[in-house]
Amino acid sequence: MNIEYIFLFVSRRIYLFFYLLRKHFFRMLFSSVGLLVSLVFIFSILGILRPVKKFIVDQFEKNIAPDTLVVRQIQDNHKTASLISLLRTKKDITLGITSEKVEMIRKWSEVKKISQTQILQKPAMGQFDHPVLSKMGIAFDLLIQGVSSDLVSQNLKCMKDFKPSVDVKQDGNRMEVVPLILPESFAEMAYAYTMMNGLPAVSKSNMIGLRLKLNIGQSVISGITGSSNEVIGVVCGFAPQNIVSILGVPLKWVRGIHLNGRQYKAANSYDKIFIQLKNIKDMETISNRLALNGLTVISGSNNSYIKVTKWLNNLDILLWTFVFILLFISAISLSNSFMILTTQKKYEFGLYLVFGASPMFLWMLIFFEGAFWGAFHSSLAYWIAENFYQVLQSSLRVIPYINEMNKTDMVFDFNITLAEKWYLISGSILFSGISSLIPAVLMTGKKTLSLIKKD
Amino acid sequence: MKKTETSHKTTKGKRLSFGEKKSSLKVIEPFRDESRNMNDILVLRDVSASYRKSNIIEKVNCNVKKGDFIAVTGKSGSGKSTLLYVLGGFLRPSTGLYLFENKRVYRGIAEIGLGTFRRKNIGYLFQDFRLLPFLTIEQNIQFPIYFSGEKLHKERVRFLLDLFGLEHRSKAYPGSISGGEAQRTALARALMLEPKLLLLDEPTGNLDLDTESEIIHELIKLKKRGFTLICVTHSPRIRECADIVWHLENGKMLISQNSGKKKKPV
Repeated sequence: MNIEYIFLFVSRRIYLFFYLLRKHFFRMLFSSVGLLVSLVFIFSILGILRPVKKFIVDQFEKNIAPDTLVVRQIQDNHKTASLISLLRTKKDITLGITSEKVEMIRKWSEVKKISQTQILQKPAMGQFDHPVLSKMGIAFDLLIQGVSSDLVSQNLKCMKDFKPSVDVKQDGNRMEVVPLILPESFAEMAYAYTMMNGLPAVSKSNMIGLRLKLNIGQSVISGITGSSNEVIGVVCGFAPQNIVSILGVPLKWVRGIHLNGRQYKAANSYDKIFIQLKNIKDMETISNRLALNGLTVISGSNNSYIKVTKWLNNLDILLWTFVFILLFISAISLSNSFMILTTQKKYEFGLYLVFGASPMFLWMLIFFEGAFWGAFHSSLAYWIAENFYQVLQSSLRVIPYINEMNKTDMVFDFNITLAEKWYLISGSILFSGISSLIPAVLMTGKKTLSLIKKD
Repeated sequence: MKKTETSHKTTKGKRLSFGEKKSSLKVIEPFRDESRNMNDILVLRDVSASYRKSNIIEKVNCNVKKGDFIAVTGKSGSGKSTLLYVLGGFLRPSTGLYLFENKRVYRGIAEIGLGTFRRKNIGYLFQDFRLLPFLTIEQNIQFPIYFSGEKLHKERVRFLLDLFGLEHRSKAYPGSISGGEAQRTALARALMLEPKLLLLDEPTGNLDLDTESEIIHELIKLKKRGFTLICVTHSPRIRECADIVWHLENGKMLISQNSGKKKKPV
């Protein structure tokens, strides 16, 4: 084989292809579209759905890891009522989970780590520390919750660590600055409020850095209740409701206030604990053991996580099944198209055989044609999938909710590695080559004489 | 290349011997037959074959010596083309034995090995030329070399173009040449790989008298160069030029020797 003949052969086949495309337009079109759609699906599953799936799983794992139980005391109505009164008065109540219980649980061999939250049993009043908003004199009562830093540190957007620092103000006074983590529902409520009242939209991102003046020990409802401690709170991020249910601050800081105020019961009891297990299989055993200790597992996250991952896996199976069906149909239609191409030139191939071409030689020729077909379609499919993703991404951005509320979270890229891309392209080349080889093998299985005989 | 040119001069009047000799087929078992001569290029023993049930040859026996020019005659449907297909390695006989250079041709199953046999030994000229329309005359002539695994010798192509007077038409396409030129192109293509046996299926079937004369002239030249030719024909002029005439009737073969002097082509 020399270059001249290869060129002649290729140009001849291209000519023949367009001739047949005109003659058998719909058959060729269906095989082409079938293959293209299958490949677009494969690229989309890998490039788009996989990152979305990873995003969902990450969100779950970022909030509460699937191996973690969220535990609180079995509901006590009297104590709940007492907690509400914290808005007005200083209390010293032992909340459901005492330090002793925490230490006891920590010693269980199945337990890897325990994190806690503690409600501040003192009233607190908040005011905006803002050049304009502060002039309005708006003040509101707050409930404050101390949260272990390991539960929320990944949600921090503005301070380096989840612990108080000291800020020197212009007048020279030193102010304690406390990072605040808000429940995500707060951001949604603020957004809804501004939308309903025709105010400029408030998003998560523009709430970050918002400063509040916190007067610990004061209450709007009941006035000054005792000595007050003024600190600055800076909104540094958002966390899911089942981690932070009110205004989240560093746990050590809350405990410090309790201890300074001689609220020992408050300092040594927790409203919620997060038990991370060494093995996820021990969940049921630990849940039962906690129940015996008067504690209840409230974490729905694990169930949701399992449900969502199960659903995503089922979706995966469904989509891959669909892809395989499409590929099977494409293989048939591809073979069909090549059957036409081959049958059309059966006489020509017969002559090749007469002059000594081996069947293997003809197989190779047709295989390369099929491979070219696969290379063309896979490249086109990749291009379509990538651009489809871009269109999808820009469409999502016009939805205000996603744009404003979840901008930081919803950014994920069309995620196919270079190796995967080339594996897929080579795979489709091989797939098309083999599909096209079937009619070639069938043809060369016939006697040469029957090929060269003109009908 | 120099060696090749010398080879042409020294072999003038004998078998065309351009380039190196082809390697022969692998010998599996020599066939022992008392009636066979060592000079026989091919032997048919009790060969019967059918194609589409209409063309049948029955128990054909013959020997062909190297350099023979054989004309195969007979009525349409008498089995002439079927015989040629058997000889060319296209049609497996239902019974009998076909030896080529003392080796069985149809020894494998299906078409296995027949491609190699054809490439190494057979030059085939179709009645309707069967040139590839998308190749030029020159490319059509060199077409068999593409599958031979051998290097393309441009000198060889030029030699064949010159031999058949086609050099001025080398870049033309089959659609734009005359019947005689097409036939000569097909003949040159059949000779490209220097076959040991040239099978010609009605080489003058569709041609006028002048063109027929041209082709007969070429066949005689090939015979003089030492080629073995078997030519299916209805033409009395080719029959007269042949050494031997095989006449097929109802699938049976009658062999007659042309004892007289060959008539010169018109």
